[in-house]
Amino acid sequence: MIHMEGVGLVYPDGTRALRSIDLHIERGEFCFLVGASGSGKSSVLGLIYREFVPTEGRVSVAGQDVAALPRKMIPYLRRQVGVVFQDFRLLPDKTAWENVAFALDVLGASRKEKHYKVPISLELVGLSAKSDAFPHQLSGGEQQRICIARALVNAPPVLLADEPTGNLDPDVSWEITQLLANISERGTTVVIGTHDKYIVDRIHRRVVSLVQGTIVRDAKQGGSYDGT
Amino acid sequence: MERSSGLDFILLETWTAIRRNPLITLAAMGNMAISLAILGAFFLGAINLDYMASLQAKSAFISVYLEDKADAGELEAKLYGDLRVKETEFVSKQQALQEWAEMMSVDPEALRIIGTPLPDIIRVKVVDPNDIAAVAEFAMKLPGVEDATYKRDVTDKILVLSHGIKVSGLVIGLLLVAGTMLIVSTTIRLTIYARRREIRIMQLVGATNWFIRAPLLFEGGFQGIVGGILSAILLCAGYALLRSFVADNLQFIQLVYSAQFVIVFALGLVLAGALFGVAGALLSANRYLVEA
Repeated sequence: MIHMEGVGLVYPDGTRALRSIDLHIERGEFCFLVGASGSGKSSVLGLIYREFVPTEGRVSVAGQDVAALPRKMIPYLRRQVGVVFQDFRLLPDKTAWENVAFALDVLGASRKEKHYKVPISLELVGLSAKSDAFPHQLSGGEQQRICIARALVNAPPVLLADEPTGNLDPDVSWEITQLLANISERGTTVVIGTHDKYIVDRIHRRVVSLVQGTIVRDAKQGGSYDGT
Repeated sequence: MERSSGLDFILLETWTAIRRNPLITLAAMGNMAISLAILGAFFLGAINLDYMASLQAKSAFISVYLEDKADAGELEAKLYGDLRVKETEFVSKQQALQEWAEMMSVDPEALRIIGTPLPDIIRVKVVDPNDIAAVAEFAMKLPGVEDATYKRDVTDKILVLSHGIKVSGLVIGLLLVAGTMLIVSTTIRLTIYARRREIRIMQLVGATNWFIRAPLLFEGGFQGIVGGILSAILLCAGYALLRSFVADNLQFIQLVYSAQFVIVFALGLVLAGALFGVAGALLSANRYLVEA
């Protein structure tokens, strides 16, 4: 589903973010990218949803060469890739239901389509009962669930999460991780960038470790944060 | 499943943005109204100056003085046959004397006794005031013509003025249009700044750039239309007052004024507002989307 071969990334200011990245993530896989701040986790994720263009190597997502994608085709790639962030990025003046529906609105979905898909997505994240609540009326974990529901409402084959538990306490972090694992079991490829040792060590899935922009370890099964 | 064009969402987003930032929206409309009013006032000034200049130029005529033995009928036919000539009028020496006497407040009977020193004249008006010099030259060369004159200084100056008004009107008008678009563009940038979270989310969930631009263009167009309506009300009322003042106090000035002219002018302002609004919004939206 996601393939990176010999990928390097240098930011416009000259900072080298990634070097010689070879990474292959299959359909339905659940994978952690771990490492300290500045190790390149967000850069790898950014390459997948074409936030960045690799300066070397090749990135393909769902069979598409991401770097070669014309600018006007980027929106169509992003419909295939849901993204979840640490800071949730919800619209404060919209309810939970409207925040999720927003992802359909901007694609020109009909009212009927929204009324069909939004409740399914809210139910998946376990927040059907709070669909009329505004973000400020929800806890951090609930806000993150809304963010996940929004990322999933278009049923993308890939879900990326950049530090999804960064603002949450350990119990809620674990709930969110389990939710993402469930989503992966339904066939969605899930890639999580995190430095949350607690959740990585507890769930025992594939762990790709990054240090200064290079992959130093790739534990395919039962991986832990520091490889111990 | 049936897909809508998303127009209802775009209109809702536009309306939400307008309602959410009423001060920015009001400032934009005010700016647009003032800019369009200046532009419109300048246009009215230019069109009236040009109209007055063309009236003066059109009323200019060539006086073709005939020799005593000249065949006035034949000469008038020759002059009238020239395509650049609009009309000719034969003024006999007696009529010329009469006109002169009236102008100088002298009894024409007294003049008749001493005889007239004036020649017969053919007055020639031209179709295009720019041709007046060439037609006068042509008349001079005809046999039987003693002289052909026109108010060279006045007519030439009016033609230069008329041309100057058109050129400077175009240059200043373009500068004002650029200024107006800059104001709208800045206002839309404020809107974009206020909506940057939504725009970022729209980009992340795969909205096309046109879908992101559309509410901004609608907003710019809306601001432009309201600004255009405000400036049209302001200018049309002001122009009506000016016209009645001129009619009462400055009868020698003729302003361009008719119901049709006022309606077309007002619609033009509204249309210009909409166009500048959309163009300014497009400018800002494109710049932001390229940078984002």
